[in-house]
Amino acid sequence: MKRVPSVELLSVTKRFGDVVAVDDLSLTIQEGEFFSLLGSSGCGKTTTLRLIGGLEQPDDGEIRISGEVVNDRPPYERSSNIVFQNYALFPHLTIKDNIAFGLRLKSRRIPEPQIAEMVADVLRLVHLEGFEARRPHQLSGGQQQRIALARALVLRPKVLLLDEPLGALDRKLRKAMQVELRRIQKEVDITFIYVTHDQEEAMSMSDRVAVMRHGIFEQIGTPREIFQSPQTRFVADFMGASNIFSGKVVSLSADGSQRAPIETIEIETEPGFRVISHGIPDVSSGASISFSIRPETVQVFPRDWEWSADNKFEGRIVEKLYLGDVTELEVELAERAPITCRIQSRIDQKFDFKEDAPVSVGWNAEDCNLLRK
Amino acid sequence: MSRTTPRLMLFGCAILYMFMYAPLLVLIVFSLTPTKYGVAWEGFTLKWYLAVFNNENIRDAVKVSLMVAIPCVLISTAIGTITAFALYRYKFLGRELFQSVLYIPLIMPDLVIGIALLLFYTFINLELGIFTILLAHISFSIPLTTLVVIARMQRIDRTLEDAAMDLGADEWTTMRKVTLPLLKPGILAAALLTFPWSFNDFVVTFFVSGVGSSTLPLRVYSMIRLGVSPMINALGTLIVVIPLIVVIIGTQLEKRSV
Repeated sequence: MKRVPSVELLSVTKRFGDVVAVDDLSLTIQEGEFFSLLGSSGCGKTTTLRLIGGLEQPDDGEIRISGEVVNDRPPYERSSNIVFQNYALFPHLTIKDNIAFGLRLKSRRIPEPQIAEMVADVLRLVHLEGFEARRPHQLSGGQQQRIALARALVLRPKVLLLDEPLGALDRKLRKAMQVELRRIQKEVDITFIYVTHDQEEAMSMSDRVAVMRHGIFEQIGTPREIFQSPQTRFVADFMGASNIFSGKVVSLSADGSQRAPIETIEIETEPGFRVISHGIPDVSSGASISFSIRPETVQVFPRDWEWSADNKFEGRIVEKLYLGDVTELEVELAERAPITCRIQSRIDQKFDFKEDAPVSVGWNAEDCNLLRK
Repeated sequence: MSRTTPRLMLFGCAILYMFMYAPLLVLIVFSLTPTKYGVAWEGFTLKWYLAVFNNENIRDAVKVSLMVAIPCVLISTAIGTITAFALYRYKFLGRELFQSVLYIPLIMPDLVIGIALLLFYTFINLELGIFTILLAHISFSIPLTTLVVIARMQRIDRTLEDAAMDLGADEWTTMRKVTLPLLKPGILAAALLTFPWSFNDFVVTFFVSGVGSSTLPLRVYSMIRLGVSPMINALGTLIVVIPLIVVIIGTQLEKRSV
């Protein structure tokens, strides 16, 4: 039997006046998946979430939850629940009444003792047993966040929509909550759709990530795919692969092995470097192409050091930035052709790199990631 | 800042309070002394208060005042709340204009309001009496109640209503279980501020009242014309103290709201 996807968007468009917030989006999210919408503010990720939750109506397209078209259903008739960025706990109600808010609505007809039990259960799930009688303002940010989560989870939605739920928490608490969220998601086995602008957060929790910009998806894939093989310049940049070069393909060659004839290609970049990269299908000689290189895959050695790499160039350190466990070096290969390298700080210590020192930098063909656009 | 500043500020405050409350204090003191026309303290008595309670004219006037003030509070608070919703929640043609027009009665002289209303009621052939006083009071109270409720509304987080709907509450349930409870302090404050507005009004009421429909301020005015009796002092004290207590409760409620 074919599994029905949990959430489907089919060519969904949402406009606010002249602004297209969500532009012809299509997306399929499987049941039990932890899916993240990643992008900077104003990219349409929150609007997408609100469209699924029913707080906004699409101008075009179709939204399905568990196979059912929900376009015309108000939020209170959808089997999705939202955890809001600012938690949106009702200040006039106790924690118990907040969590029981949805359970007590007439349509559900749940007897009060059972409600009390469900509230206690869900409080246990978020590790806040015995908090029933308190009020939201008596709780810390992290605790309020968990109550917001509990209030949504207690209704057993098919889809939980989380709108930057950890945004207001400090770094340490955020880390702890990421682990916690992932644990809870596995425990309740509900589809999570998670909106965030923090790429690390999306990477660490998600099964799949969609990177959004200007209301469209730039790339959808597993965290590893997005991190290691960004397909567009924007995704590469957003994921911190800040070395992006463009050039022309000058030659194609088989790599020699007969069983796996992967081609390598040679690219001449605009400042005039020849770079060897692993190939991709459908590339022809003379085509213009861009590629990105993650800073941590670039190696740096003193000029007189013996070493080898597929691509090796000489340069000069123009800037050095100590970041704790790693050190970032900006090396100028030629006039206006800098490359960022991130090396272990202990390696930096060993070679004692100084600004303006001559070095050689290099990377291997497989670390060149070719970009679609 | 120099060290004399706190002292200077205290001095300023003292003068301010003296100007504001010294006359009241005199009024209260003389309401408690038996002399009829004197300016000297001649012992303590509550007889003027007793006289106030036993005076049938005053009792009737209080009755009229309450018959106006209570419905006025209820009706203008309700209308103000609905208006606040309309102005704050919905975008419609002329909303800006409507909002600025709302402030005008607050700065318009009572005299003008009174004359305008009198002309209007005569024009539409409405008999002057308690009903016209009530109508007049409602019309000058609505801007106040609307503004107080809007002020409260601006402090309510809209996502709370989104959250209620998301948790399964329809529009009506959301209004009943989330919006109104959160607005309650504002609505109460509006009601408690409107009461003294209506109860104390003299100028507007003076124009729109008819024969046999004297509110308390009108009655006091006509009594003074026959000479200042210490009974007036006692009555004045009551009129000052009772609404003051109501207003204090009102502002406390407004402050207490989260």
